[in-house]
Amino acid sequence: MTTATNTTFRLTHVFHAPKEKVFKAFSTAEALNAWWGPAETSNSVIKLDFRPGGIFHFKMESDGNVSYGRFLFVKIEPYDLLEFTNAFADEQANVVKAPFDIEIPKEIFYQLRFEEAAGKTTIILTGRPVNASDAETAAFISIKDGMEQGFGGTFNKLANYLAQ
Amino acid sequence: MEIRRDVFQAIADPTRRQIIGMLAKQPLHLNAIAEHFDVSRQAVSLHVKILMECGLIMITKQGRERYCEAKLEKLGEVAGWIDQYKQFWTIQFQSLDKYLTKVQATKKTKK
Repeated sequence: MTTATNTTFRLTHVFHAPKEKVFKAFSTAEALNAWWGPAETSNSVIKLDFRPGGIFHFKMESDGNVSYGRFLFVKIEPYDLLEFTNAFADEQANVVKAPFDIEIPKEIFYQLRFEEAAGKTTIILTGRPVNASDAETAAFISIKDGMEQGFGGTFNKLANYLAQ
Repeated sequence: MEIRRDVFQAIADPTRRQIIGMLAKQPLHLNAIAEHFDVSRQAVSLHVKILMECGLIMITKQGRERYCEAKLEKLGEVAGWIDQYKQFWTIQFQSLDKYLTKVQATKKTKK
């Protein structure tokens, strides 16, 4: 039995700034107002309580449609590590189902690691669904073995995600 | 009776994952699938039924045999949402990039 990593996806990004700066961009309402939120919506911070157990509640507006999102901070280790869950929310910051047609996990757990080298900071982001059982996450990994043998578009695509 | 069947449920079970893996390589008769497992043919048959209900496989009858074929576009739902989150974060990070550049530029001019 292969050991399942609990990671469903992983993304890295290099910023041309020291990690203290990059980290702090997550820690104040002013900074978050300046950069956070889906590009196609106008976003505003409703509440930011930057401590473990605290929440970041924000509003997203687009063509008269309003939706809300929230982070629940789990772990904060300046300037190295940030862990939180992210979900769509209502006006009171209660978690709600994502407003999409497809079934997607309601809440995602994210871990961001900040690594600095030569004045540049790399964020290593990993995400996985909250409450998805180990079996579910393991599933992606074991299915991949079957997929590698001559499967078309979608499957290769999924395999690529899993391989990362 | 409404039973919730989705791709996550389909792949939550190790036997079902193995069945998907086998069918991903080639279509198989139900008996051929059952031979691979220690559990009863009935148990395998139930897993196959669940996979069918989740839309992951297709069953066609050929004489007395049931022929199972993978129909795996459904797994694309899974790849689809992962893709969406990745895209979302890529855009977020690009936005953060711009913000940091701006902040640092402001600092420099102040000096």
